Amino acid sequence: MKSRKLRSGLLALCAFGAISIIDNASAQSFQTRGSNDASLPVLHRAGAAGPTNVAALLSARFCTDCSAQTTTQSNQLRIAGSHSSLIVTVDGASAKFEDEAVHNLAHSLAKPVADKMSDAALEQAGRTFIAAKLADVIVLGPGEELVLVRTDYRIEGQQNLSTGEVTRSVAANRIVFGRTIHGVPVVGNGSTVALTFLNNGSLESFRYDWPKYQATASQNLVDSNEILSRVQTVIGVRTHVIPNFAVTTPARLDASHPVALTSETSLQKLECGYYDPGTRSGKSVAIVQPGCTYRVVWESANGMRQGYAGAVPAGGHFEADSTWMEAGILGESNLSF
Amino acid sequence: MTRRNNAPCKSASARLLVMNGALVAIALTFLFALFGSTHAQSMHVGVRCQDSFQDSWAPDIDIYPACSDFISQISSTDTVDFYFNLENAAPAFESGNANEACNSCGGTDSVDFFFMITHGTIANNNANYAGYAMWNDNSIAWTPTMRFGDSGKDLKVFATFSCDTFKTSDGLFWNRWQTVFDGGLKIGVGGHDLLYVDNSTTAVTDFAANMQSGQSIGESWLESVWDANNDNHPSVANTGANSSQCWSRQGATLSSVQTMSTLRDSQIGYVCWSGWNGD
Repeated sequence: MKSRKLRSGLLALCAFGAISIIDNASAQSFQTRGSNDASLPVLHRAGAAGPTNVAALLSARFCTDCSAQTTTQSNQLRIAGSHSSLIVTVDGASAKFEDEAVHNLAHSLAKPVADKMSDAALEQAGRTFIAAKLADVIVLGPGEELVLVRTDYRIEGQQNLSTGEVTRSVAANRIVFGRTIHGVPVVGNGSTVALTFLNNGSLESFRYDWPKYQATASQNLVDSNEILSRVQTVIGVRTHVIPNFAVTTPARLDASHPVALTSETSLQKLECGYYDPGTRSGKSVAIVQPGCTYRVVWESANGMRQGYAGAVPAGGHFEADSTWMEAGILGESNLSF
Repeated sequence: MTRRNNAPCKSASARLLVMNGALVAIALTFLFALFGSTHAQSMHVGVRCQDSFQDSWAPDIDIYPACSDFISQISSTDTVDFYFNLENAAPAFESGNANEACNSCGGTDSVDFFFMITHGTIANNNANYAGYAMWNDNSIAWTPTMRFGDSGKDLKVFATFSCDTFKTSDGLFWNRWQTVFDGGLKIGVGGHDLLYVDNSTTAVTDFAANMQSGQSIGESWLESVWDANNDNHPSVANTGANSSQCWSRQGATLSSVQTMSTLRDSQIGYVCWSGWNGD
């Protein structure tokens, strides 16, 4: 996996000042936009074209063998054929397409890991595909940009148990795009487009969550120390291990420079922006508030590990959201900025 | 620390069910399918999850909603025999232990499909051991004590949302899992590195729904767990007599895994695996 720092950096720079988890190019890019205000608007996810219309559009284009239409337990619209399937969420803003016939070719097209598609080739293939095939659902509003988030690879391995020989290969190549709004990234599973290509360039699957956003009233943002304190508080509650020291903003934060939250847990990744969990999370998302996604790892002295993921609000006063666990833990009434 | 006062093996009729964070003793004698199934024969499913650990020997994980939602989804096509936590549970994983094939004990080989969420690990003093955290203080069920698939209902699928246990990057996967697969286990899914718990249950509900739609068990796991969190490291592993058969068997579905031939001991010539975010 290769992850760009863009999503982790932009809001961190403007809102949290001291935190230095941003590459210089991104910092310069943001500063030139002149948006150094320590506030961000709350976004409302606006209705898309509706699941039926989106399903009709996409199935005609990708799912030509699809005919059987069902509704899933989570009220998603599912259309399936002999070898492909399409799922559209109830708000019409998210969809997932998978072609099993293409998937079944992946192993026969596998290549040595060293020959996997490069980031640049994947980005080019992804942007070309979106422009040609998804332009009417991946629509950019004013000030919005489609940005590269990460590349991933499906790796296969096998071991001959007679000889012990192990071989590895790459079977599929995946790229994930995200969205920035006036330079500020949307973090979480919302505003993402993931495309998976086999080594011959054929599309195995795509999934996206791409709503329209409408900006409303702004929230003042807290600083980096407060963000880290919130993550520490949340992890204490979630793990049932109460922190016994105050966390402070480090000079650098990434997997190689984690921030200790308790004696056995550390923050390894923090991405700040508009936090949108996306409707694929199974939750109804109406408002998108400033927030920071986190990845925290617990590791015991004997090497047992556990990952904790989530997001904390970044606003001094944030709106109540019954679907946002961390907002409930932190409780707005205890915060004032 | 929250202590769970349950005794999973006390009664054959009482089942420990954890729904919405509360422990409820309930009889789950019959859970029939609500909707049409894509697989001909309903599988017997066992579920065991643990969210807190005795004397806080391991940190809490907020996973009971995920386990409940997995049950809600899979029970629309398959029969959930039990939903237990992991108190006093290590014997239920041990080859040769009577609990292993005991349905009322939550034994792995007492069902066709076993699903579990708890902490996972590789032993820091012996990399040939992968293990799963039990509730009891420092109790870990280690893979070399396991042999799935040759007693009771002959477990076919072992699915665990746990970190690290399916690690392959060090070349020692087979050292850790040989005894488990030697019994005839057909498909295992888990994490080859970190898996993240969060406030969403979609990873495991989509896993169940994808399988029910006819997608292979392995692909269902890889896609649903990655999709829920792109930093997850999902993995699927299985065996075959030879390389070609190994990859063919990795495409097993809920339907085909029930009729696919069982490979044990010397019948196994290859182990193969796939994973996102490395292997």
